[in-house]
Amino acid sequence: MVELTIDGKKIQTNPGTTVLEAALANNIDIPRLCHHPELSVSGGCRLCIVNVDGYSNPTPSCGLTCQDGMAIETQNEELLKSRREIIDLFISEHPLDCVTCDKSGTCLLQKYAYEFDITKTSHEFEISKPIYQDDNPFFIRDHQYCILCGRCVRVCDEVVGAKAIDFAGRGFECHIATPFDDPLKDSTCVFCGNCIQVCPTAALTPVSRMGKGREWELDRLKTICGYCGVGCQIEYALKDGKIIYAQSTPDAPVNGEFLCTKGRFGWDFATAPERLTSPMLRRDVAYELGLTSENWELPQKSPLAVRKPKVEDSHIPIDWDTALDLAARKLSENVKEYGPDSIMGLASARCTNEENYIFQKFFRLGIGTNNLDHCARL
Amino acid sequence: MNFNNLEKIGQKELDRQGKYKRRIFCCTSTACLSAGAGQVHTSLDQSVEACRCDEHEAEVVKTGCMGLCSSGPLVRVEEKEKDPILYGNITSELAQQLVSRHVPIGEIDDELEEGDQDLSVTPHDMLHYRASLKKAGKKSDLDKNIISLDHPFFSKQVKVVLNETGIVNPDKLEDYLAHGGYQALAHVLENMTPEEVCDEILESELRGRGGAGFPTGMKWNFVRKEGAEDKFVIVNGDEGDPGAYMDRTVMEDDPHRVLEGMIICAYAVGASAGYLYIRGEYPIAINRIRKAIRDARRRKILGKSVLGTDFMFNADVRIGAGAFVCGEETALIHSVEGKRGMPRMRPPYPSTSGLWEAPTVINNVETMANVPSIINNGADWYASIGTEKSKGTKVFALAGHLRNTGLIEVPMGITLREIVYEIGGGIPENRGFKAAQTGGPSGGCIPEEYLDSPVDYESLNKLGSIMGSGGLVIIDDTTKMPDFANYFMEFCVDESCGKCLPCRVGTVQIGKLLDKLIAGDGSQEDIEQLENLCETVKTTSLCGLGQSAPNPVLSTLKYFRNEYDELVQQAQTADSGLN
Amino acid sequence: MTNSIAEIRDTDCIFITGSNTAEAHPVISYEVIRAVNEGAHLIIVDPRKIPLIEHATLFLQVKPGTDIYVFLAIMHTIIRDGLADEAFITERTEGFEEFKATLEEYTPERASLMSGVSVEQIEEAARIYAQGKRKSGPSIYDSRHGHSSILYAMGITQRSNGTDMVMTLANLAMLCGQVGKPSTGVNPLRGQSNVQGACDTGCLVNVYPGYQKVGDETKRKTIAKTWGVDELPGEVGLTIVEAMHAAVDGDVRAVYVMGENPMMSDPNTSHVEKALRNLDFLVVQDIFPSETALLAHLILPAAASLEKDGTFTNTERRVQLIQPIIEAPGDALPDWQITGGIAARYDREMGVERDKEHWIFPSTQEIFQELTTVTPIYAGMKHERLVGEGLQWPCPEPDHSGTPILHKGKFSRGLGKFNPVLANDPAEQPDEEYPLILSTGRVLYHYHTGTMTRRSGPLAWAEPRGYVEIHPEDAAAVDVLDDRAVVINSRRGSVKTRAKITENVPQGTIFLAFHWREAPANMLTQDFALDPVAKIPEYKVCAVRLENPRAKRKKPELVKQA
Repeated sequence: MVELTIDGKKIQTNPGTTVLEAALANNIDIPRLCHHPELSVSGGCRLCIVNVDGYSNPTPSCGLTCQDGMAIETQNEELLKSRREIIDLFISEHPLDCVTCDKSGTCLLQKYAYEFDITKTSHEFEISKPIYQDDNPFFIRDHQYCILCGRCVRVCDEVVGAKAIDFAGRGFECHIATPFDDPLKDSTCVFCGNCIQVCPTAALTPVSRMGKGREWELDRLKTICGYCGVGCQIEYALKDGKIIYAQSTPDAPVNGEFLCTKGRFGWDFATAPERLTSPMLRRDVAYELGLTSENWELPQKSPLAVRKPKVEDSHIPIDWDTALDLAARKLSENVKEYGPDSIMGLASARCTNEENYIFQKFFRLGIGTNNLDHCARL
Repeated sequence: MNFNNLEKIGQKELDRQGKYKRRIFCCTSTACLSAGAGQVHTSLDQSVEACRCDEHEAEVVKTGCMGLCSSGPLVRVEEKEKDPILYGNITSELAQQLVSRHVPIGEIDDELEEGDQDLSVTPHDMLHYRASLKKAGKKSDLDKNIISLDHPFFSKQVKVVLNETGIVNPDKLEDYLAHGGYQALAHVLENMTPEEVCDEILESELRGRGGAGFPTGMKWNFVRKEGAEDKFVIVNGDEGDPGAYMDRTVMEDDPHRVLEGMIICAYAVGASAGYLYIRGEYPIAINRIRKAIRDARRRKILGKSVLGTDFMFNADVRIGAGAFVCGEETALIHSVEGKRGMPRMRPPYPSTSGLWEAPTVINNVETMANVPSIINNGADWYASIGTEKSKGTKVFALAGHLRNTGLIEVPMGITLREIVYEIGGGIPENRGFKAAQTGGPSGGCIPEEYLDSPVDYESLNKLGSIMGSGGLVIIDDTTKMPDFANYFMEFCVDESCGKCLPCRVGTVQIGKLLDKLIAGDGSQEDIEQLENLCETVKTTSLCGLGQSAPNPVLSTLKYFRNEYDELVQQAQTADSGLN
Repeated sequence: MTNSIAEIRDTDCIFITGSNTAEAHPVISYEVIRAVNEGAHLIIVDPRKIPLIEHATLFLQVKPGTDIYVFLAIMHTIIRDGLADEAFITERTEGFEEFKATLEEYTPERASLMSGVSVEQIEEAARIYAQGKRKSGPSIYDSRHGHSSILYAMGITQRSNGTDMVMTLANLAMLCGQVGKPSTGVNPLRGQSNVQGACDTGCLVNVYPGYQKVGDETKRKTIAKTWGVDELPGEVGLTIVEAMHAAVDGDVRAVYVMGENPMMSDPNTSHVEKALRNLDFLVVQDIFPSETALLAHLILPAAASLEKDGTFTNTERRVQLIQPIIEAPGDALPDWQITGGIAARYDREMGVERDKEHWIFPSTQEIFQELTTVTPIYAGMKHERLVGEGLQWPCPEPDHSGTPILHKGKFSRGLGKFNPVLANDPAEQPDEEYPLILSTGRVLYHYHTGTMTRRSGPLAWAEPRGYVEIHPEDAAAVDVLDDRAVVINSRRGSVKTRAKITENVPQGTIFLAFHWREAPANMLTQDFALDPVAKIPEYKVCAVRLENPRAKRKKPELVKQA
C-alpha cells in the first residue's frame, strides 16, 4: 500500500494507482476532460492539474502515479485560475450553441464552463476546424465541437482495435481524421459507435438523435441486447415512447461502456413496417374455413425466389381467438391421428427462458413428445 | 578484440596522407555547398590535375565545416612545415588561381593532350595563372580572400565536438581512424566495465546538449540499472530550431564520432540496438550517417560482435517527417515506432519505458559526440573546461546581425560579450547591440545589460532564456522586439502538435494578441492578458514545446516592455487623433 | 463458457479457434484486444484471415477441416516436451494413459503436412499455450504458469466431428491444467441472445430443463410430479435436421416454430422447403413474415425482445433480466402468452382436465418461479435476485452467489475424463466436379438470417448486399471479377451472388455468410453428414464449384474468333 495526502486527507491506495484515481475513490473531484477510466492516459486537456509538494509546476493528476509520502493539493487560487484559463481557451474555439445543442445537459465542457462560471471567452473567438461530416447513417462528426481530447482515438485503438482514426494536421488545424480524411466507410471503421460513447461534447452524435429532444426530456430504460450471446446491457434513450438512441453505461455487468454496431445502432428493425401486427392465416386455409371467398393456392415458387414477398399476398389477418383455436385444433387432430411424435417444435434462441420453458413444457407435458429443438447448432 | 586491424588501417591512411606535400581542404558542408562549394571542389580537383605535377605534390580533400560559414565556400591549404592558410569566398575561378599559387607546375606540352579540351581547366590555364601571378609579384587577388587564423573567431574557440570537422573526410572511415577514431571505443571495450563508463561520463559532468542539460551519466546509469531484456539507444538528430545547425554539421562532417559515442553509450547501458533519428530536411547528414553505418558494419565496428568482442550492437537511421515536436523525446519515440509524433506525459521517462516500452537512452547528437573525447582524455580533462555546474564546451550556430556568423564551439562560461564582439566581430554598420536570443523558439532574449553574464545552463535560465540546443541569434537596434517575438510565436503555432490545449489554442491566442498590439489596436489590458496567457501556457502545457513557447514573448516583455507600451501609446494617440 | 468474459482481460495467453470474434462477438473481441495490449499472447487457429489476426501474436492458418491435426499435434508436442501439468492430470483427471497413447501418431510433422501450418508454429503454439506465456508485462496471477484460455465458436462445432473437436479442446485444457482457474477454461462463444437459456430450459431433444437426460427415469419422474402427471416422454426426440427428413417421409406432420427461420438457417434449403410444404400444419410465431412464415398455414405475431420482459442467459451462463423498452406493434404478444394460449386450448381439444395455471401465468416472474423448481442449476434464482448484475449458473440455493468459474477444484462429473479422439476429415471433400470448399458464417453488420439486421437502416447501409469471398487464384480460374456476379453450385443447389476477391480466404476455400435471402448459403450446405452425437450439420465444409454467369452468355463462335 502507498500512503499519500490529498488536500490534507490521508489516503491509502494500491501501488500503481494514479493521483486522479485515488482522489476520485475518496470523493475528491478533480475536473477533467480527456481522462476516461477505461482508456490510457492522455494528459492533453490539462484540466486535472494539481500541485505536488516539491514540484515546480502543476502536474496533471491523471498521469501521476501515487507515491509514498506525496502531498497533493487539488484546489487553490492558482489552480483555479489555470483551470479557468483552460476552459476560457477551450470555449475560444468551441461554439456556445448550448441553447440548441443536442448534447446540452450531458456535455462535459458545458458542465465545467458552468462550474467555473465562464459565460464567454475573454479571447478572440475562432473555430479552428469548421468541418462537418455526415458521410454515414450511424453518426455525425461535427468537428467545431471537438475539443481534441482524443478519447475517440484511444477507444478505437485500445478497445475496439479498429485504429480507424487519429490526429491529423498540426496545431490549430489539428483534427481527428481517417487516413487522408477519406469517408469513414472507406476506412477501417466498424461503426461500433464507442467513440460517441466516450465523446464528452457534441462532436460525435448519433444521426438518430439529431434534433429529437433535450437530454433531460428523455426517458432511459435498460435491457439486454437481443443479438449475439454476449449479453450486453444497453440503455435506450426514449422520447414519447420512441427510441432516440442507444448507449451503454459503466455499470453494465458484461460490456461496461462498450457496445458493437448491432447493439448500438441495430434497434430500428423493431419499428420496421413489415412487423407482424396480427395473426395471419394462409389464404387457402382461410378459404377452407370460409373466412374468405377467394380460393388460393400456395405458389410452387420458393419464397426465397421472390424479391420482396408480401405477407398480405398469401395470408389474411384474423383475430387471436380464431388463430389460437385453430392452432390447438390442428395440432390435436394430428396427435389424435398420428400420435404425439408426429409433431415437431422449434423453440427459439432469441426468446426468453420463460418462453422457452413454456414451449418445451407444452411439447412434453401437453403433446407428449421430445421432438423439440432450436437453433443452438446453427 | 581486433582493434589492431583498425589501427593499422588508420596508420596506413596517415602514412598515405603524409606522402603529400600539401593538402587542400575544401569544405563541403551544407552552408558552403549552398554557396557553391560543389563547383569549387571540382575546380580544385581539375586544377591540380591540370598542373601535371607529381602525384604527391597535392591532394584535394573534401571535408566538413570550418566554422566561418558566412565566408563560404572555405578552402584551407596545409603545406608541410608551413602555417595553414584559410581562404574564404572562393569561386571556381579563384580555385584555379589558388591551385596555381600553391601547387608547382610540371612539364606541360604546348600541344593539348587528348581529352584536355573537355576540361574546364586546362594546363594552359594553369600556365597563364602562374604567369600573371609572377607579374603581380607576391601580390595576388587571392590575398583578400585569406582569413587570418589568429582571428578571435578561431582563437576564442575550444574544439572538442568539432575537433575533426574541417579536417577529416566525413565519407572516409580511414580518415577518422587516422585521427584516432574508435580508440575510445576500443579502450572502453577492452578496459572498462559498463558501470565504469557510466561513472566516467558522470564524473565528466557532461550534461545533455539538447537544451535541458540533464546529467548524461545519470541518464545512462538509470538505463544501465534497468533489468529489461531489450534496451535501446536513440540519437536525437531532429534539430528543429530555426537557424540552428550544430547537429547537422556534426552528423555531416564527423559521422563516425557520433556513431562512436552511440556505441560507447550502448555498451555502457547494455543496449543492443539503436536509432539515429535525423530530420528529413538533412539529406546529406542522412547519407553520410548511413555510409558511416555501412562502413562501420563492414569493419565489424557494428554488428554481432563489435570489434571482435561479445558485445553486439546494431544501429539504423530513422528519418523524421518534418515536425519540430519530434525533437521532444517522447514524440520522437512515437515517431520511431511508426506512430504520429506526439509527446506523452512523463513519467514514465524513456529511461524506464521508452522505445517499444523498453528502457531507452535518448541523447542529442552533440552529447554523443562529446563522449569519445571524454573517454580519450579523461573525465578530469573534460571537467576542467567550463564553469562549476556546466562543464565542457558548447557548439553554437551564431547568426543574426554580426560581422562573422557561423558555427562556433566555445567553452562553457564564456561571456556573451566575448561571443558577440570578439568571435562575432561585433555588429556591422555601426549599429548597436539590442539582444541575444538563445535557444531558438523556446528561448528568450537577453538584453545588453547582461552581456557579461557567462553562457551556462544556470545563468541563461536565470535570465529567462535557456541554453537550448545551440541557436544564438544576435539582434541589432533596428529590430522591433514585439515583431521578433511574434516571429517565434508563429513558428510555435505552426509546430504545435495539437495534443494539449494550452499549446494548441493558447499559442494562437498569444499570436492574436501580438498581432493586435503590433497593428496598433492594442491596449494595456491586452498586454496584461498576454502576460497571463503566456504564464498559463508555460505552466500548463504538456511538453517542452508548449512550456517554452511563450519564452520569446515573456523575455521581451520583461526586458523590452517599453516597446510594447509604445505600441499601446501609439494606438491611443492614433485614436485621439481621430477624435 | 467455463469461465467469465471479464476474466479474458487478465488472461496471459488467449487461444482462439473457429471464432471470428471481432465480427460475430465484437464486445468479446474488445476484451481480447485489451488483453493483448496488456501483453498477452494471442494464438489464432483459423482457415480465414479474420480481422482479429491483426492483433494475433501467432496465426496458424490451417486448411479447412484440418485443424484437428494441429490440435492433436499441439498436445503431442506438449507431452513430448514435458510441458503437461502432471500434478493436475494425476489429481483431477482419469483416462490419461489411454489418451496419451492415441496421440503418439499425431506428430507436428504430420499435422504440418495435413494443415499447411509449419512445425515451428505448431510447437511454438504448444509452448505458449501450455505455459501461459505472455508477450510482455507481468501476469496478474501468482501461479507457476501463466493462465491460458481457449475461446471457440461454430468453426469448431459445425462439423461432422464437432463433438470430437470440442472434446479435443477440453483435453488440451486439462492436459495443461488450464481449467478451473480464473482466465482459463474452454469457452464457447454462443451466437444468439438466449441460445444458452434455450438449452438450459431444455429445448433440446435429449434433455429436460437443467440438462436432465430424458432417459433418466428418476429425474423425469420428479419433473412429472411437479407438472402434475405420472410420466413424461423418455425417448430422445428428433432434431431439426432429422425432423425435416421425417417430414419429407410423412412421419412428422405438423410443426410449431417459435422465432426460428429454418428456411434460411437449416442446411440444404431445397430439402427444408420440400419438408415444410409437405406438412399438414405449419404454425410460425415470429416478429417478421420470415421466409419460413410465408409457407406457414398460420402466422402468429410476437413481441420482439425490446418489447417484453423475462430473462436471457448469456454465453457465460449469466441470467439477466430484460425489460420492455417500447410497445409491441398492433396485436403482437409476447411468445409466452401465445404458447400458453395454444397449450390451454390444446388441453381442451384433447379433453384433458388440467388446471389452466399450468399454461396461463400472470407474469414472467411466476413462470421463472416454476422453471427454477425443475431446473436445479437455476434453483436459487428468482427475478428479484437478477436485478443489476444477474447470476451465473449453477446457482442451486437461494443464497448462492452464482458460479463465475466452472470445474473449480473438482469437475462436475468428479474426475475430468480424457476422451481419446482420432482425427477425422470432413464428410464432403472437394473433388474434380466440386473443387472448392464452402464455409459459412457471419459478417459484422448482420445477424443470423438477417430478418432483423437487414431491416435496420444503418446496418443495411453498411452491408447492403450479399457477397462471397473468393481467393484471387480461384477467381481467376473461372474468370470471375471483383464485385461482379458469380454462381456457386453444390450438389444441393446453386446461388448467385457478388464476388469479393480477397486473400482473407485461403486458396481453395470460399466464404459466404448465411444472412442473405437473395443468396441463401444453405441452398448449398449438406444435411447428410451430421455429427453423430450433437447432430450438428457441417456448415463449415461442403464442396462447391464456381461459375461465371457471363461465360454462359458468350456465344462459342465469338469466343473462337477472339
